[in-house]
Amino acid sequence: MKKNFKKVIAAALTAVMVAALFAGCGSGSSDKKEEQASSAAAVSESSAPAAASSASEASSVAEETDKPYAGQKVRVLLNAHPWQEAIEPIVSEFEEKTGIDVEITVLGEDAYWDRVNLGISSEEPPFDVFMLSPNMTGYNGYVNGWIANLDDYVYADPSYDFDDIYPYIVDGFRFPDADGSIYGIPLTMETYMLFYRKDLFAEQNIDVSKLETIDDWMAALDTIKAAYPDIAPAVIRGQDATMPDELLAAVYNNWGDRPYLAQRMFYFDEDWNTQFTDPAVKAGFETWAKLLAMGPVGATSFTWYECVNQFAAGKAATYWFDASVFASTFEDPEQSQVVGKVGYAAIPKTATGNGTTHWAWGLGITEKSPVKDAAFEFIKWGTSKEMNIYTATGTYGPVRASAWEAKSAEFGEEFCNAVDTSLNMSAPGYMYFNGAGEVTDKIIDAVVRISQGEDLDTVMEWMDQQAKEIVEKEGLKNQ
Amino acid sequence: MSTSLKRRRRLGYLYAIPSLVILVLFVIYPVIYGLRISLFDWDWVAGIDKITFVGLGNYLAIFKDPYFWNSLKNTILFAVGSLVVEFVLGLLCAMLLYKIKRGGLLFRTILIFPLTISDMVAAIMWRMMLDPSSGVVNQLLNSIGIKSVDWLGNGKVVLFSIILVEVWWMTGNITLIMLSGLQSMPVEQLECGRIDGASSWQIFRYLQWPHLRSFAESALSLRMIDLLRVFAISWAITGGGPNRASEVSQLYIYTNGLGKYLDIGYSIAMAILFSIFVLIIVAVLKRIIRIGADE
Repeated sequence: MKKNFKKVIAAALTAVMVAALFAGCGSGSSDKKEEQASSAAAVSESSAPAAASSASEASSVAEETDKPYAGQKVRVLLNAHPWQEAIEPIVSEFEEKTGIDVEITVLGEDAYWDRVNLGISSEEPPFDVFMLSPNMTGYNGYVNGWIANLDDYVYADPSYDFDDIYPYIVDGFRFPDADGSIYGIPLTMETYMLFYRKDLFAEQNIDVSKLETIDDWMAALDTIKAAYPDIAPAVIRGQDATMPDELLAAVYNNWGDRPYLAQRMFYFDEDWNTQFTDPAVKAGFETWAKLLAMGPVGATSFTWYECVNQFAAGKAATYWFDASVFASTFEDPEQSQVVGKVGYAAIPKTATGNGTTHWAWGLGITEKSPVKDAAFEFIKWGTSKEMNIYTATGTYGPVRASAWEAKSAEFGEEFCNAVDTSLNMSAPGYMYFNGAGEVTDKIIDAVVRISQGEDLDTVMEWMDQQAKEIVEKEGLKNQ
Repeated sequence: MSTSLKRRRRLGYLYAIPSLVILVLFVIYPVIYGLRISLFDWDWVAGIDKITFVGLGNYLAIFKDPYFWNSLKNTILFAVGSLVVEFVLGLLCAMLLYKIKRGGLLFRTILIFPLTISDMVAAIMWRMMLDPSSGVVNQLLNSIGIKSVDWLGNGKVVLFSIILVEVWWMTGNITLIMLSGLQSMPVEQLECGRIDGASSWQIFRYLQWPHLRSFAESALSLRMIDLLRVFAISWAITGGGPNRASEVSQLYIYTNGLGKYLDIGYSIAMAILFSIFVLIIVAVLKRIIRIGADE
């Protein structure tokens, strides 16, 4: 009996090691909702004191000045990004100007999204302002009411000139409902394009202006491969959680003018029937896998970080379907060995179409933040006309028309033309629905398998089946 | 029972109350809460307020989930592979450290150094070192004429790569346990053996090993539990890739839960099932060690 009791205790202790990881994250059952609501209110009141008490101390002075939020503390969570690198050293200017105390935490992208998901879902989010993109995080935030609606803020101060931000970028940060309220303020945009080594192509007498199609480029890459055995013909994202976002550009490049549903992109029709065996989808996956197979040793495991490093170190002749923002790295002598040697082009056409996608980073506020007004002051400053121009040197992707006008000469004609052409044939590359995370993980598996030599048709049929199962599991067909 | 004995017993219960409160709050309650949640469909993407009782539905779904079983297979391969290499190397290092007269402290420090590093730091460091084109490992191989190895992108090699990292990181643990076993043995026994003409192997096999067996049992059990719970090394070095060749159970559970899909009920059901597997595997391991001891 005693022995059995010991076994039970041992079993319970072992079980808790794993189970507690998840179980301790907060109560969420419906019967606990009231309790949650009251505790949330209590937390909100009790967590506010740091801000509230300091605010009250300062309020008597602040109300009379132009620093209404002086003494409040805004906690900011940022992804490691050229925008963050540009803004962080000058945050003290904002602090002096407003009297708001800003506390910044920076994380690499792998850890960043995990921290955001955990943070915004908690009863007491550990940050007020955070970087976000029009992806599942925004969707989850919308469904659960974790992200603040910013409609009332954006036009409150006319000098902010919100309309100067391109509307098609703002639209990515609208909640997916009839009102389409804004939940994020864009700070940088990127479109997916082609980077190539001008010097290598010139040395091989390849006239890039005559390479009109993907097939033309593939043939040229064979020449490059034969001429430069130590340089990989191409580099492209592999086992990277964000790769499916860019893959949308490769699929869209084959899709043509056919309609598709924005949040499901090319993979599901209006009845949630799967479309992974569609010739355009297959062609997009095949192109990606071919380019991945052309990469350096280990390319399968590359994230954008390794891809950028490889290209900047001169170890790859082309870099495909990736973000215009990386031009800032390639043209920075401190980070790049190929400064002045990089050519920029829009994605070349295929037999069935020509298109790419764009994406954006923005700033949002947690719904439970006790200092929303001060938090928006920070966002307003960070995305103002002046700051958008200032940070553009690092991001190569400002979101304001005024900033593009101011920075075009610095970016160079070729880059601006490539971005312009790309945006003219671009669609927002955002996919979100219940189950999208699982679908994107399966997409990564499929691309890696094709690149490692598995039969395209077999893998795409497998992918189609996997997507069907996810859609059924999530009950999307019955909605 | 005398009155004073009764009073002392009551006092004993009183002293135990703080520990019991902590046990209930931080162990028993989370386990019961986790067991309860595992019976619900609680998908935060659909809405944190939507929670539906599904009985054993989550557990039945796990049995049909090939990715869970793949992750369990990877976890077991990783744990067994690491444990065998760590134990052999750890024991060897302990024997050498026991024997050497000078420089013992230096070698011990070198062996212990990786233990002072967190798993995440070790993982990030090795991710850079194993980078196929700029990593120091391939550069060393190239310098002696060996072609670069795709340590992290090749599905057939990747599990070996993460075992290598684990072995580098944790071998010192086994070394320390076995060394303390060796040092706790009376020197007279070994001297008697030597006087009776026993060879080094015979001294190890018939004198040292029986003494070390209980230390080995502890080291193997503790390391096995630790190895089965691997997370950071898989998450930070490979993200489970390529094509899930290095996806371990804890990573898959995390991805389904707070890591990505936010399917909390399902991920907790997997966590509970995985805990039971850990328990079974450790029980089997202890049984094997005991059978070895009886023989």
